[in-house]
Amino acid sequence: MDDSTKCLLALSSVGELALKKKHTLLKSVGDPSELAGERKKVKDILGEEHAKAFFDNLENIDELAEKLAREDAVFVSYLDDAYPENLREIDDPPIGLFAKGSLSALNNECIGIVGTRHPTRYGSKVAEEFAREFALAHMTVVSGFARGVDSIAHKACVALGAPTVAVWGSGLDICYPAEHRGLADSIVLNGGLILSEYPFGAPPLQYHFPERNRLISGLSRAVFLAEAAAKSGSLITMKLAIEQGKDIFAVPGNIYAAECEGNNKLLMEMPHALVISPEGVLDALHISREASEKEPVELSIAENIIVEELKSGEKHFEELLAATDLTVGELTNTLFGLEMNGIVENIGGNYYDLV
Amino acid sequence: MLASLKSYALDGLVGYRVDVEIDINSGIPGYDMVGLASTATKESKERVRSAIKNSGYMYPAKHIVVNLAPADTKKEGPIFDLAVAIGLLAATGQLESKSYKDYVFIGELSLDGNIRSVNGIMPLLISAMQDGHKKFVIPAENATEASFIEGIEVYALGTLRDAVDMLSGVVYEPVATSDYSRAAEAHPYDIDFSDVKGQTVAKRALEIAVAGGHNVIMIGPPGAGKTMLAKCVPTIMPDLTFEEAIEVTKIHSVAGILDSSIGIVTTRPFRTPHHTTTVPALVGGGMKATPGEVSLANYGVLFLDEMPEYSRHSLETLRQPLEDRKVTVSRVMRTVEYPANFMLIASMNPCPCGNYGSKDQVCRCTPQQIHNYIGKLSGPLMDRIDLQIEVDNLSYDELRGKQAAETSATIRERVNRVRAIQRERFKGLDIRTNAEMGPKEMAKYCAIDSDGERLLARAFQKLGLSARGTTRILKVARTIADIEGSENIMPAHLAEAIQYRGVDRKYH
Repeated sequence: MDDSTKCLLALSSVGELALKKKHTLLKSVGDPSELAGERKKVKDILGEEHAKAFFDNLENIDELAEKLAREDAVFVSYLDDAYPENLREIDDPPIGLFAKGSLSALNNECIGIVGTRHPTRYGSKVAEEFAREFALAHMTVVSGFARGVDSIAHKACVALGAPTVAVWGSGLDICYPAEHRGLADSIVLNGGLILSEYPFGAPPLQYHFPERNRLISGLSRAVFLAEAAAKSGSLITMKLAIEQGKDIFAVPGNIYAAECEGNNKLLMEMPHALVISPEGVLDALHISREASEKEPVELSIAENIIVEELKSGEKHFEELLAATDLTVGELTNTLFGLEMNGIVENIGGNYYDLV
Repeated sequence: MLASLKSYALDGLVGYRVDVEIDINSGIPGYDMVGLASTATKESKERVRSAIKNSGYMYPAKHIVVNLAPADTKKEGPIFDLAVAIGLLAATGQLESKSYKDYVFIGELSLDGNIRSVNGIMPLLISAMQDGHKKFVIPAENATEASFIEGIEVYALGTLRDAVDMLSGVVYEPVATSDYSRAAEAHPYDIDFSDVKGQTVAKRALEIAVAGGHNVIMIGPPGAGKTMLAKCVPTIMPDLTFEEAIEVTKIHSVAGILDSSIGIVTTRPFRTPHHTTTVPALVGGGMKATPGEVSLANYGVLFLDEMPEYSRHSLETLRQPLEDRKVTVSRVMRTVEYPANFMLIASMNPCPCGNYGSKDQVCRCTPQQIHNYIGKLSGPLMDRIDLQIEVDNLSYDELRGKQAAETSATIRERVNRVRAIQRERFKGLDIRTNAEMGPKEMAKYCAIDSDGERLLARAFQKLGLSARGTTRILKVARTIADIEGSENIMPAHLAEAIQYRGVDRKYH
């Protein structure tokens, strides 16, 4: 690690320090390595406390580096080649990133997926299907690792063994939300990447999340909104994406559900963002995807009727019962067979849908 | 003078004879009751005095001693009032006839001399009859309850004066015996399965459950109709036989919840203890070791609405009755055994807010909250519940204009047929239904072929089921095969049984 990187790591490791101050400080010197000798300047710009923390970090820089290594994490400063090109172009790029996993995940075209932490069934399905299709088209899905849409998108990629990028709002040693610890591991195992601007030990503070959002859009070529309520952080991300000059996409929401209001609000203002299928996004981005040939499965008459029925959307068991003329036992059986063959899915509450 | 009368007291569901002895001595007027009488029993002193006075008799100004023998068992309640009063009148010569020696007296007195009804007449009379007693004087209000017991002569009287008159030779008609089947006909269930619209999956699952004696848990959002479905379950269970009815009536009579105008329980009980219920209320106990909800639900259904809301302790105490079909209640002075042969139907929301996995509602629970909610249902308890069914509410439109639903009677016929198959199968064993099969019987009757094995393995892998559920899937598949009239368990039966693992699938 050269002196400049050391200084940047020390600076990045100062907790709760405004990004603006870091930039001001770095602009005041020619090369970051000069900071080590500029005690007064650092103190003037950062203030007493933060300056002390900075120099303390600098003194114990080997310890910090060791800690990173122990957690299999790396520090990437803006001076590094590995620093994501996309981030260099945004207004307030982080001076360095803590990363865990494969940085090569960022070499693919990246697309951000954002949405509510409490998705409806519809929102969950949208997030899952779009993430899957993007991954199949060799795009890397970038999202925020939160509950709901974010984690659904990550999981869809992981399920395919595809890389995905999770941008955290806390230090890499603090998994938030904690129940996603397993997901974090599988993201890394599947060639994905976990990124954070915050040093080890940084808690997931509220103001971290809007800051994190600018990285999600910043890393991506386009951002896709799965589902958002009228007042939602996801809408902020969409706005940031527009400011950063990214393409944005959103599916229309159920006009009766408050959880979808954000989508419709966005689409009223930006009608061109409207998409109704993953292909719509891929076409707009001129990304081709080799059509995957699904193996044709021989279906019985009853199975055919069920599949035809489900083409118009999810159906309750009772509705299928009325449509097929089977007994309860027979229909249960037929549905089970379709489920085993991966054609139909029981989505809970006796509702069935095509996979 | 001394008078000795026969009365009966209850120990659990079994009555034992209590001799009420009254002796009148000269000396300072007073009243002593000996023989481990409880407060309610001791207070008979005042009731008896007023009743005697207000019936127009004379209360002696002497020293009265009442002994309740055997002297070493605790006597509860006011049921000896009548015996004490008659005894007093006999001992003071106001009742000259000695015919009281032939009767067993049971009844509480009110101050005006009326005989008030008591709890537990059915078990008291049955025990007394088994001990060889033939003639009884009981409260008039308990007449119907007593009328179902054949082979005894019961006089149900309204007042102390009536009792004295009868013993002195005035002719009173004994209670005429009633016919159980007529009573059962006159008091049917007030609910029918055809009242439940839609819910075909749940209905089918409940039919399977009743046919095979399986316990059930229903998962669904509030308002999905779980309670309504559960209430209908007794209506498709085989008709309550007279012997079963007597058994149930005994328990309900002891607990004091018997409808005295019907006098016998004609429908299978449906008990719904609230989730704040205490352990003694659930399994029985209290000072008098009274029967709990599990015993009141004997031969019927115990419905635990919102099962995860019950305290863990209460849920765990259900394990013994579920296993042994009876429950032992121990208290300082006594240990009582009550039958507890019930079908357990539990219901739960999918999560604390109720919207997890819902079609158009949003669930606001954190994964941790959902985890904790499900965690309340312990493995050992869930191991005793064979079917897990999902219930979802359909909108009004979907409920309308569907073909008429089957009536309970139609379903019950099928259930009876399947129960008969099981009786034949388990002849000579202490097992009545598929749900009660042990490992030995399962090896014999739940064999599946290689196709079935493959299907199971695939389902486990694809649906993330736990191997812990295998036993339950096999038992349920056995019942489904019985319903379909199949000798062997076919893959189709297994497939259907796997569909009834809703909890496992939803939360794996």
